[in-house]
Amino acid sequence: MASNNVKCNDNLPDEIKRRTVWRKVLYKDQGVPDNYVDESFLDEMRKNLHTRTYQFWSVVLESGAVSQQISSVAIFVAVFVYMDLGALTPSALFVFASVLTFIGYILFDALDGLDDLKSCLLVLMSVFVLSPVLKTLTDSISTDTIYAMTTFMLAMNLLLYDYGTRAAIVSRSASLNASIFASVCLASRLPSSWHVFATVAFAMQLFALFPSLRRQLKMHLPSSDKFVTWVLVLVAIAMLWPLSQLFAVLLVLVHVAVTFVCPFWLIKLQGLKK
Amino acid sequence: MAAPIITKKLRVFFPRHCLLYDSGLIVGWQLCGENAFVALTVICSSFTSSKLSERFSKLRGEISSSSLSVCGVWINEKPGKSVSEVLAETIEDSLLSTEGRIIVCLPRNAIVPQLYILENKCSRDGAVIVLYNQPTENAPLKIKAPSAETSEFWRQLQRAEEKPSTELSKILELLNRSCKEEGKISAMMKNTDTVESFTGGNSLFSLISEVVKKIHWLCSCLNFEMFSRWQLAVRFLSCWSVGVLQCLTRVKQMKALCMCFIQPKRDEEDLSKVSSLQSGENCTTKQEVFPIVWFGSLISAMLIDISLGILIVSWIFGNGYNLRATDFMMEKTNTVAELLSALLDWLKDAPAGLKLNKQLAECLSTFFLYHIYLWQIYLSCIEPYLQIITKVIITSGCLGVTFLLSMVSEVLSVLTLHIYCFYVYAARLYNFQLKKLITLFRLFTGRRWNIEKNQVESVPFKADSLFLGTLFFTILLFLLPTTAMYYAVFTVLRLMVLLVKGAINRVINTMNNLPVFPLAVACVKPDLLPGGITFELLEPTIYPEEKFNIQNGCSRNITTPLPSVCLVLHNQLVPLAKLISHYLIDIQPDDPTSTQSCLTLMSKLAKGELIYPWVKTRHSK
Repeated sequence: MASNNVKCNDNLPDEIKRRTVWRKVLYKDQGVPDNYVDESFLDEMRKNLHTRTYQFWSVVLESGAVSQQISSVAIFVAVFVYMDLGALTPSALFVFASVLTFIGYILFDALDGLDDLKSCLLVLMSVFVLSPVLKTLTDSISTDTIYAMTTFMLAMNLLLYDYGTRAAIVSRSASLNASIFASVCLASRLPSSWHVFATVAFAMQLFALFPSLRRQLKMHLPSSDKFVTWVLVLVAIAMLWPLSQLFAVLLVLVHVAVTFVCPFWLIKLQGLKK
Repeated sequence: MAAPIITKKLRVFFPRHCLLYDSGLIVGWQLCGENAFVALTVICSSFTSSKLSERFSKLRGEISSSSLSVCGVWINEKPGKSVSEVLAETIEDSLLSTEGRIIVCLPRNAIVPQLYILENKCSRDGAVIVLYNQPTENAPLKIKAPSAETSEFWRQLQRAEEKPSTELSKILELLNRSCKEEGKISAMMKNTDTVESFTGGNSLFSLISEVVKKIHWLCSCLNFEMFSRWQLAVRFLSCWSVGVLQCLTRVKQMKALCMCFIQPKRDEEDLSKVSSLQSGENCTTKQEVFPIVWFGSLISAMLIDISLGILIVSWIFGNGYNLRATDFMMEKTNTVAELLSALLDWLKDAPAGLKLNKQLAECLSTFFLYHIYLWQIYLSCIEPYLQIITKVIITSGCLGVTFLLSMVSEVLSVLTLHIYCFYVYAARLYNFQLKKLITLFRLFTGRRWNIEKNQVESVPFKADSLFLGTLFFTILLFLLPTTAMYYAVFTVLRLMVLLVKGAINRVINTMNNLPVFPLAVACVKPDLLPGGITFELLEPTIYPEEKFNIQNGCSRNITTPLPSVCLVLHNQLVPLAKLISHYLIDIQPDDPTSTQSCLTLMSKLAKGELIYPWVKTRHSK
């Protein structure tokens, strides 16, 4: 019956079709059966309304945050290896890191000073007091286990880090905690409690204070971000080169992948969204 | 029984002991509505029925027997008299003229009586004769065993069912009264018009019960003032000490003995509710019977307890074991202390490849070893007095073997005080560490517990608090295996001690509620433990029918022998499991001896909460 009607509809002369414009309503008798579908039926559909089209160079710029964090992790591991080999004394590390932090703090210079000083002192004091405990903490656990644990925790740090995107996986506190846990694990392998203190304090500066400084810098001085990225990447590669050329090359490759290959890939896949 | 009876058959309840009586008049109740006769007794002396009914009308004024009357004739052929002679002696026309009377007769050489009925219409299609053993005062007939808890069970065991509801229970109530009523009738037949001499025989009993009531009243007066404070203190002490608990139990046993003599308050309230008209009747039916089984069980349990205790004490003192016990105790205590220090030394060196923190293990070991050292000093201090203490403890066995056992339990808990201390320290430490770890783990993932919403919420923490939190989290996490190992070892030790103490407690409990007397009664005189009734079919004996014919002897309207079934009404014994499972005295609901379920125990062990004796946490209130 219905198909019969549709057939009738097709057979209607063109003038009548043009005269009555079909509307997408059911309450009106338009001389067609209920299951009639006009050509204009899907006209109002919208696909991928909020698609953002990315520019290649802007993606490359944003990927700088990832490169920075990877470099930080690489620097931290390199520092640990230097200290474990005895090439770096803890006092040198502490002084160097403190000077850098101080410079960063002056750069930062946005918050009220006294509160920061207090919390900084509190943290340093507690790390200093606890460093003997931290040193003996993992005595009975084998070094391989510690390294595996550290690798896992640093990977968690990279995964959960806040790169400026909004995602469910991002958790600033979890990423910070993972890196601190890793630093405590690594530090407990070092020979003296002074080493432990320097390493944990350095980790604190590198993973807790430095990211917020970078974030502030990026907000106020967007042009400085490129500079910070280059410096960090170069320092990380420079520190890795004497230890192992292979790993330094690998790090370079990772940076290239993160900065150029992945954005290119993203842009290429962009076309599939429509 | 099971099938619904549409036209109620005639039922005659006849006392079994009356089967031996000579021919006479049947006195009993006639339940017209139920179509049942309940025979009370047979009067064989030469009273005429008119005289008897006069007497009954007099009795009715005094006692409340509802409708006690002559309801038939009992004919026993055995003594050698012929039927006609018997009839001539006993049956008068005046009696036989009234209708609805029964004639029960026992033919010669027969066990089962036969039933005849005096009535015009011979429409009866059959009858049931139930022979019953007359119940005594302490063993009433009832439909089923009481289902009450502990002491109330024992009390109800000897008490007839209240508030007769079904037809059967109404009849049973009459049967329960039958003994007393028969006594009254026999007293009346001896031509004593007053019934007082019958009740006067119990003067000694009433004197005792009066005295006990006075004492109880005094006690309750004293108790009410200091009760709450006393109770609190006693409860607290009994949580900790088995000896105090045992004293308490003994006091309760004495109290229960007193309670045997006293009617519980509930009945008095019941009586006051009943209207004044019925109160006289209720007094006679609901009068409290003396719970002899309960009384006997309590007395026998205590007697066995005490005599066994005295026997053991005399054996110990006779062989001089009391001197050796002191040395033995000292030796064992020293051995335990040495074993413990060896165990602590072993734990210090990270046994079985456990990932322990060496520094913490050493620290804890030193701490616990110091306790053992203190314990040894304490032992050497009390050694001179130990002889006297042992003597006192052993002498306490004179109060009963349960006291001796509870003292042994006490001594055990004193001698394993160090284990208890270790357990408490380890559990507290472990519990603390576990709780903090959970909190810090939440911090680790950037969340925290909101008390107001009672849920976990995400909070932006500051970097320094995160840093410190993670630092402590790492430290506690790596120290957890060490703490957990100490906790596990000391928990196992503590559980072993608790197991021994639990076994001793179980023995004490059994001794306190020894069901020797009920079992003995069940063997010797099962009537005293009524747990419901049963009917037993009595096979009818075949006898020559033509020998006996009442219709020849006398007048009209007597039916031929009704086709009848003969049943015997028995009192059943209470199930033995029930006798054993019911304690003689009530247990407090929040008694420390009450067990906790296995699952909560396991969860408590896992969380490091104290298992026994536990202290209520502040949060739970």
